[in-house]
Amino acid sequence: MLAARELSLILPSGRRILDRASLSVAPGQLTAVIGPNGAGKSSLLRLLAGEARPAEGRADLDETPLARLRGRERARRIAVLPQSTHLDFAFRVSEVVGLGRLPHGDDETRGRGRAVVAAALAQVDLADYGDRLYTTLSGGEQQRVQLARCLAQLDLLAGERPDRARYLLLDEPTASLDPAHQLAVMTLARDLSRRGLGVLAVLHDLGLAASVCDRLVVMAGGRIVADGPPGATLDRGLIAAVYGIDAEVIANPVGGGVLIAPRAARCP
Amino acid sequence: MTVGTVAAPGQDVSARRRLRGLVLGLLGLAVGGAAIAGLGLGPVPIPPGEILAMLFGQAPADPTHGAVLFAIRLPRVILGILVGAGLAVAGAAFQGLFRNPLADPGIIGVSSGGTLGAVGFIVLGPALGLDFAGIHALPLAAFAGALGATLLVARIAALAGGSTAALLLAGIAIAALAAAGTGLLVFVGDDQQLRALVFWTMGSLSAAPIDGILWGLPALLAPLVALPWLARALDAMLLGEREAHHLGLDVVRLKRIVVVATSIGVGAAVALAGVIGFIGLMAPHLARLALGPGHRLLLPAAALIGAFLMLLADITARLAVAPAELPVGIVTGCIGGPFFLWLLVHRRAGRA
Repeated sequence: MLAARELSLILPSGRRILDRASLSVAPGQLTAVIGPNGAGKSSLLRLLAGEARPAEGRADLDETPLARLRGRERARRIAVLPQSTHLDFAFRVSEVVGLGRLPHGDDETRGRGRAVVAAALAQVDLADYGDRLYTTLSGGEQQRVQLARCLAQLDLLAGERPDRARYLLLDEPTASLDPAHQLAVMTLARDLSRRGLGVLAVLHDLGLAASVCDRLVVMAGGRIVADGPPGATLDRGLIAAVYGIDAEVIANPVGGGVLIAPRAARCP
Repeated sequence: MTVGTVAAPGQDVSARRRLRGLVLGLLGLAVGGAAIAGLGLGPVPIPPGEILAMLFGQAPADPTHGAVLFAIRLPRVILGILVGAGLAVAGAAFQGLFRNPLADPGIIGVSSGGTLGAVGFIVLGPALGLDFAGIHALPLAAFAGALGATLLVARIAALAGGSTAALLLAGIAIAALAAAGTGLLVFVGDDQQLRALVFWTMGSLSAAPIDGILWGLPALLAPLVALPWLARALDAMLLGEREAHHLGLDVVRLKRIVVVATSIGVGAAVALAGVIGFIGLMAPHLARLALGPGHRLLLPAAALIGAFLMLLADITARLAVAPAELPVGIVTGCIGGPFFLWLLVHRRAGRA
């Protein structure tokens, strides 16, 4: 289990950008972290990725603090998809995905890496893109290539059941994508969770989060203020309190989940 | 989305690998050819057959030829190969580290620090009672200046948070300070000192004595030996520092190794051959055009191209105004300046 235990992050100015946040990323579940800008969502993700050390509390992978894991060990089990990845150098798509093999010591041309990279590209519907240049792809395609890199990093092959749980952290993965690609990336994230991956996504789109995720973690002012299934978590009072929006929460007539219909906003 | 029958990426991988092998082989031959030309051309021409015979241990047919080859031209060609390859590999590694195809080791102050060290020694040495004629003293002063500036830049960058941007900005500031210091020394220097330092700051392969080259050999080889081990890590750095960390790399350690290895190598190059611009920029670019951005091929290819360009520039410097000799930095500048501009305009196109 990837778990945040009472994590706090304090800026040199003394401001707590994360205040005793506790959360477990469950394998088999797609969890969304939502909340207004500055709520501490990205800080939480950074600590769960082992990028920074918390001022207080611990981020653990199977009871071991992330800080004590070797980088390569951590990377085999936790992958992070950034918002977008700009590359000034013209790598081929298969080479970019092959970088995910770094913690495994092989690459896209040999050994298990060859099969894993091909499978990862197929998984994101880019099976024929291996020889294309990354720099010539659209933003949506580049994001799918990066997702494939994460899958190659987590060493996933169809039909295999990993012995220990793997985790995929998505940092506003849909921020630069059009609605179709947003849905495609999040649907794929859900499929991956169904295959046993623990997936955590920082999202801004409440509707998208409510419609595809199993669980919503709502943050405000550095704290986790709500945590549960979308239907039970999002209500008018919470949205008003967290976002300062007066919104109607309606049961989604198609596909389950809830719809958010804002009426008016006041700036928080 | 099915998996089983999907073709592996890059079905023509083996064909591409053969092509890459061929390119590296051709580059090796080009360096060999340029080396033979560098050994043979000059006021005393020596035919290639005779050069090879002498290199393989036969007694020289003409004693003058033997003396010219072993005492004058061979050290020069060896230094040219090492300096060119070292500057190119250092440039390639820096461009990876900074994720910027226009980066150059000079960014962290290594060249300007070396210049300050050398010019300081030339101008202030006699006044301080240091032996002006000491053969190794000048390269040592330059080496100390180069490393001192780099350490200062790294230390300040660490104080400022350790980001790549901090390293860059600290490098710019220290380079400016070193240039100001150099300018001041030039201002107070006398005519004879000015002449010595002008030649030094424009770079030349002719000044280094053979035992100086031998002393500098470990330092010159440092980046050539250390950096290829980091090829995959440098690939990952191109994705970004956070991404490299997510892939399990110790980014801080990686940066430290690259900065130390390159500054030792470039510091030694500056110490023995003066400031030679643009090789560290041009060679990696040409290598990337031929073989793509992956560092496992890029580093050896850049080293070969750097050595080739350096030898070619040195031959040009020797022949252009014979019997006099141009500083080689002028030649690389004449080629490198326009190349840089071309790069700036055409960078978007193609695999560069």
